[in-house]
Parts: sequence; C-alpha cells; structure tokens
Amino acid sequence: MSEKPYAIIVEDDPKLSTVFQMTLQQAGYDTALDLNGDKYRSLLDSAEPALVILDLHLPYAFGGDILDDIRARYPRTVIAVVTADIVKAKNLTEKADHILMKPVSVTTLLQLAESVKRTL
Amino acid sequence: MQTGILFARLVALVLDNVSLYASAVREIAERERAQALLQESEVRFRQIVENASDIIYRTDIKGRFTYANPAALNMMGFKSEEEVLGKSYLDLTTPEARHKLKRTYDRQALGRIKNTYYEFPAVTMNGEIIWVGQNVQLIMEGDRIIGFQALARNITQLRQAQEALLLARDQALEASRFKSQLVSRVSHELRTPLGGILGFAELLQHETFGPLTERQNDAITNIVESANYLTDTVNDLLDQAQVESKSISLHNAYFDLSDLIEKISTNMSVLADKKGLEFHTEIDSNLPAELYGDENRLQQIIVNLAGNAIKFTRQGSVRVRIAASAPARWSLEVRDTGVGIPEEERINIFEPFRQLSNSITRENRGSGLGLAIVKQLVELMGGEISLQSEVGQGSTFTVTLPLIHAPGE
Repeated sequence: MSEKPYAIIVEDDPKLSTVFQMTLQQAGYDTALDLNGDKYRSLLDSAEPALVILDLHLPYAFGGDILDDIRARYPRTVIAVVTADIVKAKNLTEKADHILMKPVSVTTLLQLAESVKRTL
Repeated sequence: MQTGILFARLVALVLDNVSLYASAVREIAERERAQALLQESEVRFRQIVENASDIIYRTDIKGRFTYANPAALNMMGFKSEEEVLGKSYLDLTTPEARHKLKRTYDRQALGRIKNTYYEFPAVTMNGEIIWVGQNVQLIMEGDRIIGFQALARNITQLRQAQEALLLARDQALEASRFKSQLVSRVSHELRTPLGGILGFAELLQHETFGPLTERQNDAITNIVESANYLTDTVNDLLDQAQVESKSISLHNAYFDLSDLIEKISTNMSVLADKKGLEFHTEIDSNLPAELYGDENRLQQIIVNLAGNAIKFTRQGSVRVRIAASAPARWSLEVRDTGVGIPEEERINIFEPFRQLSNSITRENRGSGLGLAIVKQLVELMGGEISLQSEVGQGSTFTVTLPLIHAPGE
C-alpha cells in the first residue's frame, strides 16, 4: 500500500475534476475519480480516504446522499463540498467539514489538502 | 237703558266675531304660506335629487323600489320610474353576487346599522355588468324600520383601474422574481466554467505543466486576475438576486472581532500597498471582544466599503474604525482621502448598478452592486448606513448596527 494519503474526487465536470486531481496530486495525494456519482462506493472499498472533494449535482446521485454514505462508513474522512449551488450548500453546513463555492482557487485547495495531511 | 245695554252687548259680540274671523283668516293664510314653503322646499329638494349625477333610490323593508332618481334609471337602462317601482334590488345584480348582497342588507336591518357601504356588480337592462358602490341608510318611522335609502355611484372605471393596478403589481412582482431566478441561474452556470479557467490558469502558474517564461507568467497572471474579477462580479450578482428575492438569511454566531479585522486587514493592506496608500484599522476598547452576528456578511460589508475606498483613493490613506456608539449599538466607519462624492450623486449611490459618473476607469471598474448589497445587508441586520463626503477631500461611510446577543441570553 502506498504511503501517500488517498483522496476521492466526485465531480461531473471533466475539466474541473482534472484541476482537482492535478492539484491534489501536486499536494502529494493518490487520487481516484467518480465522474457520475455511481462509482464512489467501489472507490471507498479500496481504502479509507483522507479527503473527499464532493460536488452536489451529479448524473446518478445527489452529493448530499453520498456525504451521508461516506460519513456512515468513514467518520474521520474530511469531506469538502465543492458546489455552485449556494442554496443546497447551506443545508449541508452542519454535515460537511468544508463548503467551497465554485470557482475554487487552486491555492485554497492546496492549503486544504496540506492541512488535512498534517492531521494524519 | 235696556236698549243701550243690549246694543253694547251686540257691538261687543260683533267685535268678538270680527276678531275671531280675523284670527281665522290669519291662521289660514299662515297655513297656506307654510304649505307653499313646504311645497317649495320639496320642489327644491326634488330638483336636487332629480338632477343629481349620483344615483339615489329608496326601497321598502322588503327591498322593493319605491323611488329611483333619473340618474339611477339612466344607469340601469330603465325608460321610466314605473319600470323599476316594485322590483326587488336583488333582481338587478348577478346571480353570483345575489346571496352576499342580500346578507349584507339583512344584517344591516337586523343589526339596525344606520349606514353601510358596499360594492357589488349590477346588471343593467342591456345586460351590461357595472360595479356600484353605495351608502345605504335605514328609513325609520319612530322605532320601526320601514325601508332603505341609498346614495350610489357607478364605480366600474375605478374598479377596472384598481384591477389593472393589481394586475400590473402582480406582473411586476412576477417579473422581479423571474429576474432574480434568472440572475441566480446564470451566475450558477457561470461558476463551473469559471472554475475551469481559474483552475487551469492557477495550475499553469504553479508550474504544474512545466517551467514558464516571464512573458508566459505575465499572460497567466492576467488570466487569473480576469477570472477573479469575473468571480467577484458573479458573486455580487448572485447576492443582489438573493437580496431582491428576499432569500438571503443571516447566520449569526459569536465571533472574535479582532480576528475578523486582522483577516480583513491582511487582504486590504495588499491592495492598499499596490497603490501606495496607508491602510489603518482601529478597534474601540469599550467594545466586547466577541460580537454576535453574521461574521461572513460583516466581512463582506467591510471588504466592500474598504475595497471601494482603496479603489477611489489616489493618495493618502484608508481607515477602518470599529467603535461603540449609542447605547446598545456599535459602528464601523470607513474613511478615505479619495475623490469624494458630489452631493447630487449621493442620493443614488446605494441604488443597484449606480456608479459615479466619469468614475468608471480601468482601475476602478465594478458591477455597481457593491454599495447596494452593503446597504441591503446592513438593513437586514437592523442597522443604517450614512455617508459624509467632500469632493477632493474624501468620504466617510458609517454603518451603525445594534449590539445583539444570542437568543435566550
């Protein structure tokens, strides 16, 4: 097993998911991607993620439900909701560790990734 | 002698009768005069009633017409008074309105209510529906109600104008809601591609794709700055849409005032430095260290005001001062040594999309929403904002807010 921390990105926009993946890889993470909201369960099976970047509006699932799933399975995983939907995001402020409004700056994401790494 | 007495009595009797006769004649004349006056008065009042442009009519206790003036006959399309006499007022309304109309006047009679006002649709002889507004009084004979008398008016045009006004108001509200939804939707749709632009540009800037030449680095810095500017505009538009649709709400909690000011100061000092301006902050020691409120929205207010101050100041300083003000209130003041705001422009300065004329330049462009959002946020917090300014000397924006506590404290 790799020494690197593991991060899952659940984001349906291919360009944004590339940005998130490259940023987290630059921060020293192993990353896995779910573009539709239908693969995250099998990705969770492979290892406990230190960080999940989670979009809310996905083709096959609602990010809020995915958040509940991850929380039930891995309570220590840091979940950052990344969304453009300010209304839905407000309802998740209690459950998510971070709410980041799109567009998310790479610098902000790098800082978050670094701070998660320090807690491991 | 006896003849003399007899004569005297006779004379007295004649004189008495003459006086009686004179008084009877006087009485008759007076009566005739009173009757003539009465007749004259009745003619006068009848003339007033008959020539009135308002509708005047009377009914008996069962609501059957006993009198209708020409204006009433004319409005309802009757050719003569005979056509209407004996008809019930209920025959002259629409079937849908009949029940309520009857209930209104049954209640007036039962409750012995002297005067009522009611509006209802009436159907004329031509089948046209008109709206009538009428004052109805009870006609009393001693204690007994013997009928109703009404003073009414055709209010069809007034009703139509009111309905048109209500319709226009509903349409305006609907248009405003639609605009807010559109702005909200558009700004939402802009955020994802903006994330792509900003993300890839920043990755390039971090040299994720390899080292950059100076010119490449400059170009990417421009992309990042433009994307950030666009992000701010989208955020402003979304805030304005939320404020307008009243869907914005405050998330109040206790927060550390010096932490907030330090955070703001770090960002604002960078902007001020770039323009060679001094940036100062000051917190009144009389204020509690922790305040209760929406920290993010307060930060937005201060950043907007201080950001504007930096934008419109070429030399000198920008100062942010937080102080205790009137009892149970606190104020935040942003003072600059900038261009100032002419008096005629101050009135519109807090309106959305308003900017000072001749002020939009390459350095200080903006959506024109910042101050409008600030004002609306301040009002949402129960506060006020004011402005003192002198052209060429600078401006001071002062926000006064209530010192509040968590519910239950």
